[in-house]
This record gives sequence, structure tokens and C-alpha cells, in this order.
Amino acid sequence: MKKKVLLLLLSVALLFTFGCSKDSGSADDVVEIVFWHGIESKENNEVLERKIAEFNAKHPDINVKAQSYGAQDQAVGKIQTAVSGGNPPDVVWLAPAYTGQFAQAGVLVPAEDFIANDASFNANDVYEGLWDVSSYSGKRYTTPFSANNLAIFYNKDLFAKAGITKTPDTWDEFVDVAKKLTVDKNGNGKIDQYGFQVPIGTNEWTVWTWQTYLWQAGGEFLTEDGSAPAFNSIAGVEALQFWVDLVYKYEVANFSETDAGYKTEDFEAGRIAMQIIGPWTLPQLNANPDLNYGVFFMPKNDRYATNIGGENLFIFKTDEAREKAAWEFAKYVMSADFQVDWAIATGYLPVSKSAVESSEYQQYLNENPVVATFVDQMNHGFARPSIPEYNAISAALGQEIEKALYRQVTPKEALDNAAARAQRELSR
Amino acid sequence: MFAKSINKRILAENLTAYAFIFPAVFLITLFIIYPIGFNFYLSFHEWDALSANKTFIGLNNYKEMINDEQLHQAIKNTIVFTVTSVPLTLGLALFLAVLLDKEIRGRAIIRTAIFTPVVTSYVAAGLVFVWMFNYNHGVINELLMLIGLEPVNWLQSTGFWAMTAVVLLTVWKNTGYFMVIFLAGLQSIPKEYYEAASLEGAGSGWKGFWFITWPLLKPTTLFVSVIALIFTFRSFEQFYVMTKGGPMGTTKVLVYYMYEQAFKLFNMGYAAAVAMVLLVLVLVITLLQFRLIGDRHVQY
Repeated sequence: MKKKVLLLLLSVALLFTFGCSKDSGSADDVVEIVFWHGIESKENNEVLERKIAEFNAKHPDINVKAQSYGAQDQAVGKIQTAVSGGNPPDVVWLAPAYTGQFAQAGVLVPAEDFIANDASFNANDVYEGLWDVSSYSGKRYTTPFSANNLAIFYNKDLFAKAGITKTPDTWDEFVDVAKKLTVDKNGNGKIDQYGFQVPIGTNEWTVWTWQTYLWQAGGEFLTEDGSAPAFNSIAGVEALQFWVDLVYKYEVANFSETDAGYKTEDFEAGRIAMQIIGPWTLPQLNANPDLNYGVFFMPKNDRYATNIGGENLFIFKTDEAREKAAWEFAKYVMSADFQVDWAIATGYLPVSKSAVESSEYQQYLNENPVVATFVDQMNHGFARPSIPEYNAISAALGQEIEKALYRQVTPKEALDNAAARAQRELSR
Repeated sequence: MFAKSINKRILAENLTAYAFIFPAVFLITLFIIYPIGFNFYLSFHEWDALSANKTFIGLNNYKEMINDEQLHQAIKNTIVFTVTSVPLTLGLALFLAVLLDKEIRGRAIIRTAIFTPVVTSYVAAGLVFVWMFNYNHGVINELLMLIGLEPVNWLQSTGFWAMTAVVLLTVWKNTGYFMVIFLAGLQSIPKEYYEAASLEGAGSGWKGFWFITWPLLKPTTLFVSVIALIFTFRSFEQFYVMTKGGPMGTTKVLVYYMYEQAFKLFNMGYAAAVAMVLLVLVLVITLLQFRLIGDRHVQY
């Protein structure tokens, strides 16, 4: 009998451990919200923690807790799991290109609703172009956190060794320079130092770097009304042919590690002399005492063009108090207070005019010409469409670009195939 | 009266039995049976894993598979990966097990060394392998050049080299695990058989292996090959770390494709349908294995 009672008790205890895992909330008057982010560098995280602590001190009724979700390209699966488990995160740091997908799914609180009802917030202070990529069907859904774009990083020592005194401004000049920078140091028939590195792989990184070439050649990604792909134009073919030629015709570029064109090991070790990357790598590059680098505009063909990137804050539907607290936090992030400190510490670009124009930031730009190049380049910034179909289109295009880079299809065939798949997604 | 008390006792015994198996059944239902059922349900829907409502689309996901060339390539890749890595792993594991079953010097150290990769994470090992297989400055190409061979662009050429590299990582990683199981199998074979056979001149060497070890090891072989096959069909990490399914989809296996559809392209329903294909494939091949290896002469 005793044993039976014990057994019963144990079974009940087992059930309880399953039933009671929900933790109880904290004190009633403080709204606790969790901020999911994928900021990886240690230096940047320290700044983030400091700025969040300042926010919490100023808002006694709100407690923001930062929580890392790891690498950003892993975030979507985790968000899906949390949302379909009925436990969505409060605020998430994510690329604005996801705005359409999440807005369409109906899981976001549109920023537009807050902006319309909050007189204390001046939306005009944030750059118009950043709002464009934060919108879905004409409505602002997410809010800019920080901005960046792409430029060419170059190794000054290798330029000097090759006798190059002027950074290239056009595609032709770029090829000339890259030729001089491609060397077989020990004469064994194997090239030890390439002028440039072409990002390979099917992921977004390949697509968003390639888009800058499309725009430089005068092309567009979608038609003006967004109903059809436009990248398989003459300009598009020219842009993809240029990448193929850099590798096979001029033989001045190697391939990056697959789907990791953003890794800077080769650049830092002097195995490549130039690379496309963004300002978020500055803290890491500055920490390398052996590296003497500079940055120049992406060379033009028809026009200058770079791709505006960055991250946004996504506010998920939870309950009114938490959503409001999340908006307070988003507002704080867009303020000059946060933007100036964050930009100076990390190299990311501010999202608001008041931050860029502040004397503190202007002084920083004077001392950091590299960052100033990125800020100037914002004037030639283009952006990816934040439509729900973007991911699928990008995946199709990435696969076709890879095929062209491995010379399995011609650039024209590749882009036409990708356009056909993109059209299918758009007219679904 | 008497019958009643027996019934009561049987009932009590049954209840106790049920209570004992309850935790296991509960967990299996929660973590295996329910997910499979939910997955089956999802495979008839279109869902981005975010929206509250799932759109019922009947057999459309399954119909779409018929013309999905990427899926066909993924199935082919999975089969190629399986028929290369499973025999290689098991062959090597059996060879090493037979070798290390003998009293040789440093046996414990060698066993440990071979088992170490099993407890190494795929991510860590994969990163090291990526570096070793690097075209320009990887140690493997340096070795190839030392012995006068051409360097191979392992991870970025269009042929089968990328798959070869992943197969090598997988074999390296899994051999130790199966070796240990084979060792256990070998130790359960009574020594008397070999002694008896040696009187007939067949107790050692190739004959001993072929007439005693191999037949008596059959239950182990069956178990090991079923497990290895399921392991291999479910492979994901090594591809994620080493190749991301590339170049040009030559290493995109079923689970990787499923992951892409579900978590990159928001096609949870389609990914669920792909998972059903994987389930059926594994089931069919496991049954085939039981037929082929599990012949009637051996008792389990």
C-alpha cells in the first residue's frame, strides 16, 4: 500500500514538473520586456548593455533585458518557434528586408500606429530611405536601429608595394588596379595574392553585394511598381559578366569561402588586397595592428551605387503594456542620445539626421575618414525591396548567380532563369 | 468471492504495470508520436510558421514535389551520401574492432583515440575540416602536392569533391561509435568456438573471421547498419558547417533542403511534406535491411 501511494505521489510530481514550468512575472508596476538581438562582437555588446542600463534608469516603469539569439542568419527559425509557441519576443533586432514577411503574417505591431499617436516623436528626423525599407504596403512597420552600406576595403601596404597611388573610381580602373595587385610571390605558378575576392554561395550575402553592381551598371532590381523582376536587363547581364570576368578573364579575383564573403581573414592576412564589406567590421580590423587599411566608394560604371543595410527593431504583438514599453525603447534607440554613442563606438551609421549633424559625431567623422566615406556613400544608397516575396526571390537569384560563377550557365541564362522564378513568386 | 479477488489482483498488477510504463509512453507520445502526427497534418497546409491560420491546400505540397528539381537533387545527394559513407564507416569500424579485440600494445589508447571524434561536436570538427580542405592553404592540398599530386579544389568545384570531403568528415566522426558496438558484439562470441575450430584448422585468420566471427556477429551488424543508415539520412550539421549545401546544390541533402524551406523561405508546410518523404524513405530502407541481413538462420 505504501508503495502505491509513493508511486502515485511520484506520478503526480512528474505531471507537476511539466505543468508548472511557466515562470511567474516580476512586480506589477514594472513592465519587463526582452530584446532579442544578434550583435556578436564583444565590444559592441558592452556598449549595448551600457545604453540599455541608461534607458532603464530613465524609465523606472520599464525593464529592458537584452538577450542574444546568436548569428542573425539563424534568427528566423527561433522567432518562428517562439511565435508559434504562443510566446513571441517583445522586440527583435533584424534586417529590415524581413519586414514584409512578418508584417504579412500579422504578428507585428505596426510602428505607424505608434507614430500617429505619439506627438513626442519626430519621424522626419529619421532618413526617408530607411523608412522606405521599413514599410509594407505603404505603412511603416519596423523602426531603424542602425544603418550601414557596402564599400571596398583596401590594403594600403599592398597598394604602395604595387606602386598604386590613386584608388580606382570606375570599373575599368578597378580592373587595372586589381591586375597590379594579383601576384605569384614565389613563382611556383600559384597566385598567392589576389587583387579582389568575389563572394560565392547562394545566401543573401552574395545577392546583396551583387545588387550594388546591378545598380552601378544602371539596372534596377524590380520594375517601378514592384510587380515584376527587372534584374535580367542588359545592365544586369553586364554586372554579372563583370564578376565572372574578374575571376576567369582577368584572373584577378578568387572566390570567398562559400556563403561567407563577409569573413575578413584573407583580407587581414594579405591574401587579397581588396574586399567588399561594411563598417561593422571596423572594430575588428582596428584591433589588428599589422593591418593598414583604407576604404573607397564602390566604383561606378554608369553611376555610383551601394546597398543600404542595417538592422531594424521589430515589435511583436504581445499585450498593450509590453507593446508600449517596446515602442518607448524603439524611440530611445532612434534618438540622438543612443545613435551618437552607438555609432561612435561601433562604426555603424546613425539613422537620424540630428545624430549625424551633432557636433560630437561630426568631430568623430573628422578623425575617422573611413567612416566618413560610408556616411558620404549613403547619398548613393539603394535598398532591397522589403516585400514578403523578397526571400524567395533572393534565394532563386543566389542559386543562379552561383551557377554563372561556376560557368555552368551564361550570365544571361542565369538572370533569365532567376527572373522566371521571381515572377512566379510575385504572381502567386 | 475467490474469482473476484483474483480479478482484483490482476487489475492491481495491470495498474502497476501501466504506472511503470506511463512516463516512457507519455514522453514518447509528447516528443515523437505527436510531432509526427502534427507534421503529417502540416504537410497538407500552407503555413509560414508565424500566422495564426494555416491554409489547407490538400495534396498541393506533394504535387509540387513531382516537378521540384532541387528536391530530386536532394534525394539523389542523400542516397549518394548514404551508400558511400555507411559502408565506409561500418567497414572501417569492423576492421578496427577485430584488430583491437586482440591483445595488442597500447590497445586502450588507440581505442580512446578512435572514439574521441564521436564526442567532438560536428561544428568544431567541421570548422577544422573546412580549414584543412581549403584550396589555397589547406594542409590536405599541401600533402597532396608533397607527394606530387595536383591540389584539389575540395569545397568549391562543381564535381563530387565537396561531397567527398563531407563523407570523409562523417566517416572520421562516426567510425569510433560503431567500432565500440562491434567490439561489444565480438566479446559476446564464446572463445570455445575458435578453440574448437582451430582443431579443424579454421580457428584463426581469415577463415576464423569468415566462418565464426561474421555469422555470429550478424545481429550486431544488423543493428549497426540500421542505426548508421538512420544517422546518415538525418545528417545536417556537417553539411551546414562545411558546404552550406553547395557548390550548386551538390551537397544539399534532404534534411538541409527541409531546413531551407522551413526556416529560410517560410514554407513550413512544404518542409513538412519533405519530412514525410524522408520518413517513408527511411522506413522502406530499414525494412529492406531486415529482409536482407536478418535471414532466418540467425536468432536474435
